[in-house]
Amino acid sequence: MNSIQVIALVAVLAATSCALAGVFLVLRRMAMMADAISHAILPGIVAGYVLARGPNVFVGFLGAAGAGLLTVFLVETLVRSRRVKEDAAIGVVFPALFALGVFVISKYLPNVHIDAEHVLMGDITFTPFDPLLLGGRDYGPQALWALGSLTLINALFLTLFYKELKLSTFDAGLAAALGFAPAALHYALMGVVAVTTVGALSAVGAILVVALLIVPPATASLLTRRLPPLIALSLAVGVAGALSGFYLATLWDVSISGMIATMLGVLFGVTFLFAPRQGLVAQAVRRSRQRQQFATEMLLVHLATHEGTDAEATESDPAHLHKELHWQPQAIRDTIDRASDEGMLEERGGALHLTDRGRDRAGEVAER
Amino acid sequence: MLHDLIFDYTLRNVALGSAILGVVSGVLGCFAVLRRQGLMGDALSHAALPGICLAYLLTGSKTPIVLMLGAAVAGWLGMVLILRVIRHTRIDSGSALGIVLTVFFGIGVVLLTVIQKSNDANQAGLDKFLFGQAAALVQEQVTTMAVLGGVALLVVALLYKEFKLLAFDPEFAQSLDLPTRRLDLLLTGLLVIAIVIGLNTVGVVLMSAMLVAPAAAARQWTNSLWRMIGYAALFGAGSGVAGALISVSESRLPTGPVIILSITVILIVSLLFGSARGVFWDWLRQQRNRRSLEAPPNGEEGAASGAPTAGVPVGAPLAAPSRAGGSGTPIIRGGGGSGA
Amino acid sequence: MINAMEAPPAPNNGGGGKDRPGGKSGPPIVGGGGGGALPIAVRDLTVAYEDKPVLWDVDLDVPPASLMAIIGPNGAGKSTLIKAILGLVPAAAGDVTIFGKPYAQQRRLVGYVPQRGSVDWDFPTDVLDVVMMGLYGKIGWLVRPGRRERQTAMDCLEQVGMAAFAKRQISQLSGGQQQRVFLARALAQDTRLYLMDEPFAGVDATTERAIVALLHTLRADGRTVVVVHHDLQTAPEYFDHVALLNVRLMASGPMATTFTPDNLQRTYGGKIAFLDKSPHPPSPSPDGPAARVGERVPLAGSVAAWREVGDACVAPTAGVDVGATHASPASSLPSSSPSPAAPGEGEGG
Repeated sequence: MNSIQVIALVAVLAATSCALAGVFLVLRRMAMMADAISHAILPGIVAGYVLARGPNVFVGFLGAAGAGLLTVFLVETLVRSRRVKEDAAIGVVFPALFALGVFVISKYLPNVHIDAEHVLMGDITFTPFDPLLLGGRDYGPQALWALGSLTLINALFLTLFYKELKLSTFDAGLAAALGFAPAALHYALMGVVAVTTVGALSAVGAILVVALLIVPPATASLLTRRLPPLIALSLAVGVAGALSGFYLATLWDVSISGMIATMLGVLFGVTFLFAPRQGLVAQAVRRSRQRQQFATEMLLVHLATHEGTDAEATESDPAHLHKELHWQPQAIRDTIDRASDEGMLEERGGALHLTDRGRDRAGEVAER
Repeated sequence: MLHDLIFDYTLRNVALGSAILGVVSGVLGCFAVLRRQGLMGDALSHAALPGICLAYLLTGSKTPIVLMLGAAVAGWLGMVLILRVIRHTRIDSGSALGIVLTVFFGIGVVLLTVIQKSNDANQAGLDKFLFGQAAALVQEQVTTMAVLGGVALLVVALLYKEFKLLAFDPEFAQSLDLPTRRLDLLLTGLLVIAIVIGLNTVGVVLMSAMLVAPAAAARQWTNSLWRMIGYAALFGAGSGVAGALISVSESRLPTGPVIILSITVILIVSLLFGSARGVFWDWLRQQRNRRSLEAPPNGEEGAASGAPTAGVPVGAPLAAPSRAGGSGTPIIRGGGGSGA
Repeated sequence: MINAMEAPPAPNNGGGGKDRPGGKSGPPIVGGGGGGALPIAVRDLTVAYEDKPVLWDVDLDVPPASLMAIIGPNGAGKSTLIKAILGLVPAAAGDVTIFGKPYAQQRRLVGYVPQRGSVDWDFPTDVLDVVMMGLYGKIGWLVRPGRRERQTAMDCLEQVGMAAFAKRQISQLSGGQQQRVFLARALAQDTRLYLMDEPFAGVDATTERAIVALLHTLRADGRTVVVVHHDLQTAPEYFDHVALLNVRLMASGPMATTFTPDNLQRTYGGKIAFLDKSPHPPSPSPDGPAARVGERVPLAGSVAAWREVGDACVAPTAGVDVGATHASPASSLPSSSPSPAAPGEGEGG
């Protein structure tokens, strides 16, 4: 494998592991917790460094994951104290932890290279040159191993606890009543998110991790409301964003992480506009169709009401409708045209006459 | 120290700039926190990055006002997008914030690499944007911050009554014929101003705490909105000046994180000992009640009619509070909201 | 909450024509009375969320100085109807006139009592301040409320029996007290028409009585009040007009002629069942609700026996209600509301 392929594969694996962890995160409305966890990792790495008295991948990893869980715990403690609402709790906990990390680095570890900027931005370009060495043997790029196993772990987690996660997400009360311990599951999910964030962080950076966790499931949720397709679509969106972003970044020679996040944004934006049911365009079309259909039905009922009465001649005169229904002349014209296109009425001698079909329809409407 | 604060050019700028930020973000943070937009600050500060980069790319100027304008426009755009996504889809506010935050920031990073390529010697300095550069504040920046902040505070003072109603009961405000959507945009626009001011000082990552922490701390000391705003301004300014002094006296410490740690300490103290809602006083009351339980009860019943947000039920499910904020279940949305 | 399935029952229940008060065939009453335009006239109102119609083709006339209850099952669009009248939710079609003119010109004439659970009672403010919010529409921009406004607000608090609580922090109020504060705020608006969204949900018996008394005072003043109401048993006693709603307007008009078992059956579809009165233990109090209903409303015998089944929106039986009243002292009924379903109604959502 050449380095380009390695980077692409790393990006894809980061996307898959994050999408798998992110689905329930987004469904449980805890997306910003991922942001908090990703920032809180810096003090975790610092703590790992201090504990291990030097750089140690394993201790650093534990420290970072621990800091992620600590964030979750602190936020929940604040919320449970009822003194601070959840959004404010998140908004204050992670900056405090992050500031603590920066503080400790600058005060006590001035000569240590823990680059806060690197933690945030990551650097995927160097992943091919950071091999996993075990007993002096080179097993290939470390990031591939890390993200590959994360994808497997997350997939396993989803498969094993699928039914429990589903239940506790949609009905926490019932889940607790059935003995599913939603709290334990909650922390397990947060643990998965934290470990995924830490694992993907060194490769792609905190911001991109958060993007990969949130944007694909959110995009997928615009397209489907059923869980299995939602997971599949999340994976698809994540991978598509990773590959297209990587391709464009190499093409234009710009930041890969940044470009992947940008492309995820493009995918979300397109879906937001054009999703078949929930997209903005579909919503606008539906609204206008509803309005048209309603206007047509109203016209038919109006005509049917006066059919056969003395007032029929005046009531079915298009000019009179303007006064009666408070419609603009153009709207009346359009409605009449649409109704006659549908074969509901005929215009004869300046008056409107219902067809049989129109009369039936008006009857249906009145029955509803 | 006081002498330095007045006569040392750098120290004066840093302290003054941080104090201005503290006041403005404290005041606007109150509304953000009460409207449950505590994370808006985080999202908008990240969303400002592409604006700054574009402003620099387009004008080639690094004048603070130009960059701030770029930041404000991008932040504003981010805010509008967040509100749109929330209004038109089932996506919850947290995810909407997260999407805008990461995507805008990603675009910003891409633009930053473009800038770095075009003139390698003179890069705009991502780390300064990320962590602020309070120590490098110059008088021109401080003046800009003061003017922008002053305008924001003036608007809040003039529209205090309307903003309060908007924060408490927006539907009722709308039924009173107040232009709630415009007020909403205005108030969030003022938030953008506070954030833009903050980017110079504490940077993107820490900005959200600058908005949330003073307000959350102030809430523990009072049950009145205008006093809460006053306390928040005081706490914000205090932590700003304290952060400036500590970081300058210890040369290695960056100002932004020290400010945030100062306000965090204030928050912790307030949560424990705040005169209105401090946890400690509740605990004390519980202890006393427990003792009085052993004696025959003869307390007046009327007084007990509403213990202020008393203790948390002991057996409360752990995961519940964090999700209880949202109405109904996520995808399969229950009847909850639309009701009746 | 079990109402995840919000889909309304199929609109066409096979029932015959619909009872329209000012139906399309006859000329609308609006033009008739010269200056006496109807407080509310709703024409062909349709509101839809996505594909689902929440309100479909609703025509409703609210006569002047009436107390009208809007009644219907959960998900019937009761709150939506009020919000659509207020312009808080956009209508897909149809229009609403308030005293003969579009709502946008008449907002000052309408007072609104939202659902209690729609605001954060942890907000840092006190009772008097909330009531003064009702005056913000009159005070105008940039002006601060002053002594006169404070006095007005105090008077309104007096009317709901909450004057002693003026300086109380709002988080320290019980559910019933919160509701009374909202009512005082509406009184401060001093309008000819009031729209109230479930003011009786989850309140204690004292508050319920206070609200009823207040409604009657308002009507005696010649004001019109429209109330979303959940309790079929008390409806005939509290109100003189009723609108039965289930996505479509099933019937509306004076209570005596409209609140019939037949109309209720059509409104609630299969969710209503006939219950024999006898299983209930005799009311422990001589003036228990059943007795009160019996005195005033001719239909009561049959109506009181109709209870909604399998749904959470019916008040408890007479015995429980009265028992709760006696058990607890007046103003300190935080959420020990008698109805098991009521707290959820208030806080949830």
